Amino acid sequence: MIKTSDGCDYPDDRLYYVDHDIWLKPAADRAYRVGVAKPFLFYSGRLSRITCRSVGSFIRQNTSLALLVSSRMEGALLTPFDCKVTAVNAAALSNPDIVSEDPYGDGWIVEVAAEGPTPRLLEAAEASKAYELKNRERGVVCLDIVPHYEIKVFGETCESILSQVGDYMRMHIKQGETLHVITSDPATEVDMISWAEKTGQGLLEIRRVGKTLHVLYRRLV
Amino acid sequence: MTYANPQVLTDVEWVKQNLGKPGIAIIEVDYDPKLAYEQGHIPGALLIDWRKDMNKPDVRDIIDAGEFEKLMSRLGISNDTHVILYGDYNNWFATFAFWVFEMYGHQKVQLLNGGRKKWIDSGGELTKEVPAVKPATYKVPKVNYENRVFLEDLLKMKIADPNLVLVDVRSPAEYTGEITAPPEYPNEHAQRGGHIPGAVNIPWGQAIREDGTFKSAEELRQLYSSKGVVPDKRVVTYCRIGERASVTWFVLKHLLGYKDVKVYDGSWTEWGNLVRFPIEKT
Repeated sequence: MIKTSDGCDYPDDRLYYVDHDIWLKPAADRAYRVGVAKPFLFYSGRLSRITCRSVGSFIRQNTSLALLVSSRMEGALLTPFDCKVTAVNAAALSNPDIVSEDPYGDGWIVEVAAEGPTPRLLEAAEASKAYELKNRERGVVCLDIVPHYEIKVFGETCESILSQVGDYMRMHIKQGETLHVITSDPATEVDMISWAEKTGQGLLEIRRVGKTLHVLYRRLV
Repeated sequence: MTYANPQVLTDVEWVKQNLGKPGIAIIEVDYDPKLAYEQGHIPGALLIDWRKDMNKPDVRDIIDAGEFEKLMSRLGISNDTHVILYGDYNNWFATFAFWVFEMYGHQKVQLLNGGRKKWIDSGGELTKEVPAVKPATYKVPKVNYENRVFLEDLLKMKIADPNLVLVDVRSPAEYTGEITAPPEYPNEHAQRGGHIPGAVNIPWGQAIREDGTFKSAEELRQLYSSKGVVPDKRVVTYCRIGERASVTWFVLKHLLGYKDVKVYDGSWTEWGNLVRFPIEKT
């Protein structure tokens, strides 16, 4: 397992195609199990619905193996080569949370058999370097869990950020669900921590990446 | 029973068969291009970034005719181009764009039924390549305001027209004022929650199937007439900023053929911020 400074990790028992944000784990000759790489979940947030092409169908290069839907994204899992679908993960289809929670394990999406020439797939060492650059450019971080909701608050004072966080939590978040707050205010860190103590909400993670602060709360009360 | 104006819709199969044909422009209209167009789009598709391209930067308004002409020219679209619109968030912003295209009198414009979601789900090819564009000349023939209503006129209509029916297409939680914006738009709220007095709540999504395409004409007729939204009424649709309202406008005006349907695009972010305006919560 290779972990990069942005918090994302990449198991080294498989290959990656960074352009499509997927991992491919060789199963047999030219057969792969396929799933999403961690950074994809930063873009999508928690997935709410997954549909797959059916077993036996032939999928052309750069077309979708699956549709991954979240509250803010209608994303595609694209194949980097012509292939045939040999299996779909029924458990993940009926419960997309599995993908958000364990994208490299039980949250695999499909299994395919390559039918055409394959492009160069990267080992974890090389893929993690490519991702590190791409993630820095795009402000991607991987938190310990994929949050249910995300709120971005830039260029405001700390009181205003916290009142927005409080409003948001009260209106949208059920007990047990999580909120990812992204903010640029450098003075916020201490207040973010004490806010959680004061209000009784859970603070799961706090991480500074460049000039941006990422805070992960869980609604407890 | 078929749709009143079936020519306003096209489907994934047709687009697949006609990719790259001259005279056709496919445009992805996104609220969030980073999560959509930039992750892969229909080969050859152009991008309209809804926030930047469809709205004025200073005044809260959609682009005017001159700005629409500039946008079309930049995208290489001329008056006789066959335009096909699709996009993210269940085609909300593509449908809003359709409403704008109609306002500025574009002759041949269609909505891709089911949008981006349906395209991906049906195995449509995606690319990250941005097409090269040759700028074109574009002239708005005539501005047609019959599909749009501003606050001032809405107030007059509410007083004078017993035949008016207001359709609030937001979620029930927004209608009752429990929340003031859906969770994916944390920064676009109104000061107060609730709905315009007298409005009926028919969430936009009730017109849509699970796969993102529109329900049949018969199902749609049933849905709206059961809530008193019938063809001889004068209908105004609204939501939070106007995008979901344009979906219901599209359904009523083009799929069911109602004569008089308007979008109040000021919507809840206008009404819910006004001082001393009446609000209902039930």
